[in-house]
Amino acid sequence: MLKKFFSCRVCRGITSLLLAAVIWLPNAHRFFDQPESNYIASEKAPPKAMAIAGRHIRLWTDPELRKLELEKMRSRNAEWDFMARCFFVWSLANMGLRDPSLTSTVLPVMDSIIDETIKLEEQNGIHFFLMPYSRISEFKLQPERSIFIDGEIALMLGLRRLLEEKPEYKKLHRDRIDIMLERMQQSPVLCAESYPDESWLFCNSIALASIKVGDYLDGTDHSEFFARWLASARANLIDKETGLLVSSFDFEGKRVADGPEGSTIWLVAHCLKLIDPEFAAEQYNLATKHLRTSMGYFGYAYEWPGGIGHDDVDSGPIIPLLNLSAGSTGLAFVGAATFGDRAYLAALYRSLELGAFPVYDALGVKYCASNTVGDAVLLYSMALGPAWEKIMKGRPTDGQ
Amino acid sequence: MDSSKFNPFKAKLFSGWGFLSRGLLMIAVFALLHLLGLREYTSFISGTTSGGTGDLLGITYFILYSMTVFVAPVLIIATAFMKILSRYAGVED
Repeated sequence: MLKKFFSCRVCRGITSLLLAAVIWLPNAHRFFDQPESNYIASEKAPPKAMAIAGRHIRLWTDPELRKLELEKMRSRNAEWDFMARCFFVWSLANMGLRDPSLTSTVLPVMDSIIDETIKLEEQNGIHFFLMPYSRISEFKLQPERSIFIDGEIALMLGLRRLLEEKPEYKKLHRDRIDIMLERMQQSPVLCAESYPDESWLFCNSIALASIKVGDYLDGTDHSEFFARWLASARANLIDKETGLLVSSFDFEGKRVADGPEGSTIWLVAHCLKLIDPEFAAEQYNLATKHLRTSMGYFGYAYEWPGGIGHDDVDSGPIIPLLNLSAGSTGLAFVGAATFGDRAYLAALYRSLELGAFPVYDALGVKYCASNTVGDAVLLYSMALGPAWEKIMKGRPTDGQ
Repeated sequence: MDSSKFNPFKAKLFSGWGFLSRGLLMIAVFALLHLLGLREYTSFISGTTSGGTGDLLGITYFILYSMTVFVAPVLIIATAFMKILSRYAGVED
């Protein structure tokens, strides 16, 4: 009977293909598995972080290379130029805090990026690092400022000071904090604008983190403001269907423009961990429920809950059928690393090796499917930890 | 001896050589695209490139890469099963 079945060529062929698929497909992931020590830091930064950092340091110290890379980024989105700087500086601060032997190497690079970024902002105005639609209408709050720019620069300054105090940066950091607080408090939902009449939780949560860093460094106390902010967010900015925080809304907080999305919520949860760890963990768990997904052993993230929604500049192109968003998946590394979600992290790294097309050379590693900001986010996910831990422990004198 | 049966484009789909030759062909084409430097164009995935020929090259590389990782090994392993089953059934592959 069986011999008769297999004497048919097509039957033999289909059976052979099925058997081969049963052997190969469940095992293909093994070629992309990464040992945890490659991407999870112990006392020193993991090798993969060093490889990415090496290339970025070269990029920031070689004017020709930097010009080429930044032009490529700016031609698509000026925000990417800005965010690549910020995520890289935040990463270096964490790497220095983790391994003090790196401090003398990372400080000059951090300072040169911070100084150049502030200089560019002063020379060209806020629109230099914003998308062109920032000029279409007027900011509700005048003079115009963007919490996107203020928050991320303040966090760069704060984490630099956390690694090693620099008096010139103390004033710059404090000034930004005062400006952000003053503007956030003018909004009914305590969130300042990133773009005209458009407030993003991504930017406002980074602003909160930078204020908290300031509290740690200078002994100020904004716990009452944080409590009001959290109460307002719970009351006004939670999506009823998912329980997740929404992404963008108008200055009044009455009209939601974008509901929960991956390219926002993973980082928001990371920043809120400094303000309210329980609420942050709750948001992370909800994000994994609605946005985390996988193809077999390969993990990735949707941009929109359930994978249903359009692509935009934040999500990056959404890959059809899989509904994979590069923007959300990149920031999911930050979320998973923040909350110690090792299973998801392992699945994400498997996908990174499979589908981000790493290229290793003498400079280090870069991911062809990514870009400078994507690589900087990835580096941050491997480096993060020491800064937040230090701040959450409190100032040395607080408990005394 | 009919040499056309060794031509990967003429080999029967459901045959040991048909599987093997197509699997190897996928790997060879992918290797060629890789050597031509098309890996760089996969930045279309993050939206870094802005349409045009670059994206087309990146998509071509991505498809061939996916076939090399997920399809070619299945075809190559299936070649061995095809041989075993042919011998079991007492027929020529």
